[in-house]
Amino acid sequence: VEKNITISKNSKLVAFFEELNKRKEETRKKLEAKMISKGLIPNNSKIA
Amino acid sequence: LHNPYEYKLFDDEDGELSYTFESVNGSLYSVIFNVREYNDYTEHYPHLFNFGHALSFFRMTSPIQKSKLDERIEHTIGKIISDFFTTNGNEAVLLFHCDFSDKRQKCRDHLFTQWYNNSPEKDNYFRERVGATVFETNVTHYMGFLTPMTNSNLELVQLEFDACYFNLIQDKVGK
Repeated sequence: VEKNITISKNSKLVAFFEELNKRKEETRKKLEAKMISKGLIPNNSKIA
Repeated sequence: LHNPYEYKLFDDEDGELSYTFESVNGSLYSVIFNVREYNDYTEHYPHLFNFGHALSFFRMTSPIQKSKLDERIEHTIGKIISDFFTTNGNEAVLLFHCDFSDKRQKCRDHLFTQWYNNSPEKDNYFRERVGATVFETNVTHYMGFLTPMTNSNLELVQLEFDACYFNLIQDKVGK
């Protein structure tokens, strides 16, 4: 099922997506740090 | 035909389950299931709150060499997701949104839609995806969920998901 909607820039949904992006970035950084500490990736790796 | 890469459990800690695999061109990928990422938003929706996991997917390292589209990557992610449902039960719900920090959320949505549509297991899963376009900026954000067709709470999950995002559509108080 695919739905498309239009929202206002003041919608709470905009803030929701911004917050989720922030959390995703934190998750990625935490994972990156763990992988570096376990020697899985070099600490200068470029994250895609 | 496109056999998945071997993958392994990387971490299972603090409500976060992550798997890794390496593609033939040397990139390391990670698939993560996080049980709490959406909790602030799903607390009033019991099926999403109790059975929801956030699904994330990252390419952790750049490829050693450029290569053509590698279909084994989508098959591997499909296998990891399928195994996740086998382990966590048919009531599990995977919630997702497309990262927009690099403005490539439309590409991600297109890619994930393509993966879903090409999946041999497509008929086994129900997927709802919402594209929300901000009127003033014309920027579109994408989110959705995936759950087995055999989820006995499927209708309730749909209702809760729709109610959840409908609530979020409303303007912030004081604006």
